[in-house]
Amino acid sequence: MPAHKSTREVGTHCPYCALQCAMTLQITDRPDGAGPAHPEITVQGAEFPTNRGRLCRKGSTAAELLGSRQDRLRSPLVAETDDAGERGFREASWAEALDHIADRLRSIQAAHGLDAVGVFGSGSLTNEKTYALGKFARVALGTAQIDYNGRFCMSSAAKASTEVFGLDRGLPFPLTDLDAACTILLLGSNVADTMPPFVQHLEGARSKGGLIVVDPRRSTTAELTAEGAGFHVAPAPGGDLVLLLALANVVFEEGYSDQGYLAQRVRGTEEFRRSAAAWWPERAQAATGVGADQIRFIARRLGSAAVRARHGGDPVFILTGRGVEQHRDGTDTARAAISLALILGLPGGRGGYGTLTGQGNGQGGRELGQKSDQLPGLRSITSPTDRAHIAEVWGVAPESIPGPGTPATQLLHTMGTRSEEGPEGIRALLVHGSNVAVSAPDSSRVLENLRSLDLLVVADFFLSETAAEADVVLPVLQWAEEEGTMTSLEGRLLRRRRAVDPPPSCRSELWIFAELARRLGTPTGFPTDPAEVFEEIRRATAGASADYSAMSWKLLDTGHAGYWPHPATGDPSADTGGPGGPELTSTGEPIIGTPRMFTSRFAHPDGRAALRGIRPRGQAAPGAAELTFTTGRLMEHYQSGNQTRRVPALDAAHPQVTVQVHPATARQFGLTEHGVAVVENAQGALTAKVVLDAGIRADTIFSPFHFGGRGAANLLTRGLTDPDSKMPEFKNTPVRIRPATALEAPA
Amino acid sequence: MSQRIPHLLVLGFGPVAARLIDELLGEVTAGRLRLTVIGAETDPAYQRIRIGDVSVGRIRPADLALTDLESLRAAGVEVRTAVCATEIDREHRRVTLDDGGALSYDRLVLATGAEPMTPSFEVESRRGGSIDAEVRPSGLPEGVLALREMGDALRLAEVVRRGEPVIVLGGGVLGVEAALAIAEVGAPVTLVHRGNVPMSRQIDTDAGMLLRRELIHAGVQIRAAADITTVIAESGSLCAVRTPLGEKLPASLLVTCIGVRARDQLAAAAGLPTRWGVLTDRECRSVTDPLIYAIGDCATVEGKVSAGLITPGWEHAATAARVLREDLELEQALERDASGAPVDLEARTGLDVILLKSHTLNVACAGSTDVDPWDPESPTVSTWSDPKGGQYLRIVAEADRLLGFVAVGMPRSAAELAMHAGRGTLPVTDRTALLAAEHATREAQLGPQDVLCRCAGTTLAQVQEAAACASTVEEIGAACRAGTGCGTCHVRIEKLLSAEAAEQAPKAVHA
Repeated sequence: MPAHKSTREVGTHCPYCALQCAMTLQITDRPDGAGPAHPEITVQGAEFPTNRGRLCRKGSTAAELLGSRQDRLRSPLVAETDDAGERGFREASWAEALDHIADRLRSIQAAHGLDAVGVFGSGSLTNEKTYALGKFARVALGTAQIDYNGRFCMSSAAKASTEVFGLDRGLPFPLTDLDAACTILLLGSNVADTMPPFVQHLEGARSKGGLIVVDPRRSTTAELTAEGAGFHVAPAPGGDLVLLLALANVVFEEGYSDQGYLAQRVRGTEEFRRSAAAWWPERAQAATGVGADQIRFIARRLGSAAVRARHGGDPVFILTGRGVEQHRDGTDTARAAISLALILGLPGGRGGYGTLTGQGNGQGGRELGQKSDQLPGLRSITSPTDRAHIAEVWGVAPESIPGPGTPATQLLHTMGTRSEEGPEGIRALLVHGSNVAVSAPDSSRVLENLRSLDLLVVADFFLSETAAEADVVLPVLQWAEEEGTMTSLEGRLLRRRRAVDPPPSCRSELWIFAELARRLGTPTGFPTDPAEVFEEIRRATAGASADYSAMSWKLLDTGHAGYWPHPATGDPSADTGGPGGPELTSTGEPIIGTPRMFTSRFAHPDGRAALRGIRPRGQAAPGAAELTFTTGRLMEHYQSGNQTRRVPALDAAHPQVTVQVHPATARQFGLTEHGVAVVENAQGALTAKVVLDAGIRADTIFSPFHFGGRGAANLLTRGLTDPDSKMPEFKNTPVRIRPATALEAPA
Repeated sequence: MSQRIPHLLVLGFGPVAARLIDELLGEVTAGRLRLTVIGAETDPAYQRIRIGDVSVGRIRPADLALTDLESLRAAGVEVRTAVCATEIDREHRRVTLDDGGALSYDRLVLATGAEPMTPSFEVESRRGGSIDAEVRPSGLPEGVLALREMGDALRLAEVVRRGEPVIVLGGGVLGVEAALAIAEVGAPVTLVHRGNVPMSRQIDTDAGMLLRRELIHAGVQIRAAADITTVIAESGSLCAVRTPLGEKLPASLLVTCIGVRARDQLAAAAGLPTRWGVLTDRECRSVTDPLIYAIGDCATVEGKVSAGLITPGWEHAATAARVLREDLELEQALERDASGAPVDLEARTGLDVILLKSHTLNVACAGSTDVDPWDPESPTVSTWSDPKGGQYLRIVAEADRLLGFVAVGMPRSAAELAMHAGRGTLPVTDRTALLAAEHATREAQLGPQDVLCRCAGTTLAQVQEAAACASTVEEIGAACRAGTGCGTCHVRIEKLLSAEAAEQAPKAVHA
């Protein structure tokens, strides 16, 4: 039979960030040969409200990682040590690998208790896998010890939103609402690099001269404020909270606060006002490095825009990103940003506050039950009614559901160790969709602890730095090989579709959970069909804050734009629809659920937003001859780089870790462009190529966190966490810097 | 320790006491500590340092409130205002009050602050324009006040609103701030000070010269190297003042800002050692009585006399709260890292920073800048001076330590240096990097190998090549993917396309 090519198209979304750009995969199946099919896949951006047909470099090259590449994990691997003492992996059958894992889990739990086994999830997993992971941990393993990498990402903003608004949806409005803005205050987010198609939604504010970017670097996003498009202020890392309080202080004192709105919709205003009053602009200078004149200027710009918005003018938005949230005071900082939006009277109609979720399913990931203190639907694991509801859905007794577990950093920094004072660390860890050896703070400690575990199981599709340490590695599916749903940064449910066949011996996590649960004595309750899991999610979230109960795959597959909450029962006059039929998205999909929240009430029982006083705590400050080290992302890479470092075009663009240094600082410390520097402190030492940039603060240096080994930025960060969210301090670490010696510089 | 709940008595209810109470409030709520605070003023704690803004009507007194009496009382704190302590009986651990009452204590915190020094003037009393026979040699006339309490600010506000002349005596920070604020709202004001330039104790002469000029620009009349010897009263109210040279300046109000003195008389009377304040160790405990603490302007902590700034006072409050927790065996607010090990984030101690509060003029300084740059023994001195441009910057440093700085009219540099001075660090040894921050805008110039479209990674050269046979942004995108991502580069691509078109057009004519 003559070989023939056939081309088909599959509509799906990008595997990477929370913008979830729509894309069309054109798949040309090659004629069957002897080996597995190697379809030719091209990626095109598709029309969609968030990306409007555009893609960044990461998205447009995403398909290069599909198929049976040499480096793809294609079989379970079991670690073994040869006669020479060298550690290596051998391929194993699924039955052998799973039997081995189940045996070890059983014996570890028998010896050390159920909580001796930890589970680590990810904001990259689909909603269905996230939900199943949480259920697997709490029902099949019976452990409280589950948390996920969103603890390093969204936990501060999530905590702050929950506290102030009463619930946590990253953007409580459709992203396209930003288009009409006259002023956008963007704090600690470099969207022009991290989610480039997002920049289209800043265009409106830029054209009105109203994009205000707060970043210690003149980032690509900060550069968007040039030529009259807005303003850039560069506080020292750790100064964001005081800057926000100082802005609030000026807003109050110069009469820009919305008294009527505050009286009707907010409680605790006075307490917040008193705490902001301690930060008059001149005093705030000394804590932020930002001039009093700039503070007044920005406050007045925001204030006058908010006053205009009150009288029918264009909306005003305040957005935060990881730059201000990944701190020891990240929750307070996000609370201050929300508080500022509230005193200006913005949320619920005249703009508002939003946090820009990072990971692909960073929103679904933080609401469907893999967080140490949460049950599906943003339910609280300590609430008796929430526990009772989930227990019924799971068919277990409420008291059998474990209580709150240990948050991520604490889990990773205590695992495999025994301390005199605290509780014993876990002895076994199952990792799904995360590369903690690179992404967690103080990574050398994490690596050491990983090695001291009795059992480490890692499910991934490439051998990440974490998988390399595992006792058992399980090969799983990539984005275009699986079905499921994701919830994007605007709380919209999206379908992820299977476009190509996975390599033959790769398996879905859903199947792995079912197989392990069966071996551990829980034969039912772990369906392997994601559609079936979604039906259970609907029941589990019914009546909860993040209510998915009226959503369905069918509605999503027939072109509906579903925003949670979308309760199956309840108030029919909720924010949806209207006399003219359902609202349509900018690309014409009918909207279901709740695109805009808080239009008439906030999610606390009394309907009001809850403000409190905020008092900044002492910060880690560099001493003499030290600099402040901060971390972040590059355009070309994603997270720990386990995927993007394997794409040739992305790797070529930024193949190794760099450290960005101000030219004057470089001269002071004897560094030269493209030379190699050693950045060090008590935690460790990072070796990085020097890049000079006059746009960064002279007292601050920056490295991306996408690299492993001696280039891991987290070699320097420390296990200091926010008391409320348990977010680690990633962005403000005192360090020293010096030129590398010939021995230290990589060839 | 017994089950008895310890009683902490705080004398003084200013911003420093408020901070201490805030730090310990959780212990009071939890029933582990009894706390009583005694305030001499009728108002509870407010941001005293900002009453200048009230005095020109820029903010309301309510904007300065630091505490809410109701919520403090609801939390279990006993608050007593408009009461003064008259005696400390250390032997019986009792404090006598001027309302006849007395309170016992387990620990006593003195946060009594400072009081303004009162100058002595000759008083010329007039009635109906001629000198009054009945000269009152003692009491000053109505209209002389020190800007220290809320009542003073409200009286000044009244005069400023009516546009009547005000004289400020004293060229320190307080006097300069007050005079400048009055001028900023357009009211007539004269600053009378002793040195050749204002703030001569804090800043070097050149900075002072610029400050003087900026004050005059702002509308402040200045009498330098002057003083006030006589106040002239008409019918018991101030109408003018006279300088030693005999100049008579009309005045409805005279604000005296000639310095403050620690309120340590009670402590001294009780036999506690004092020197410009109650002498304490670094933990804010009296050097002789471990049951008594002193914080804020009434304390001389480890030999360091208070400069009247709020930040060190709040640091005292935080220190005292931490030590009191240990002392009284209360819950420790100890921070632990993720592995469970205790964390001690050592506060960096640097210089006390003075940040002038003004809406129009930016002045910041710390340490000493009155150094001869040509003296070989001097530390490093860097000066930028542009008097006509209204800018002056001087940085004095030794190795990697900042010894002092002053910045006038340079807000970015002021903010950077203020932050570093507080930490005791230097921003960068190359001072020109600081100057650059004063106008930090730039536009990148692309070379052919520079990436024009960052999303697609397309270089300028690649786009130029594509532009040769393309006329729209979309066509460029189809040819080389440039412009298909965030769209930021569309403007650049369009510029390039029109340049290309312009270049090709004349060629066509020549052909």
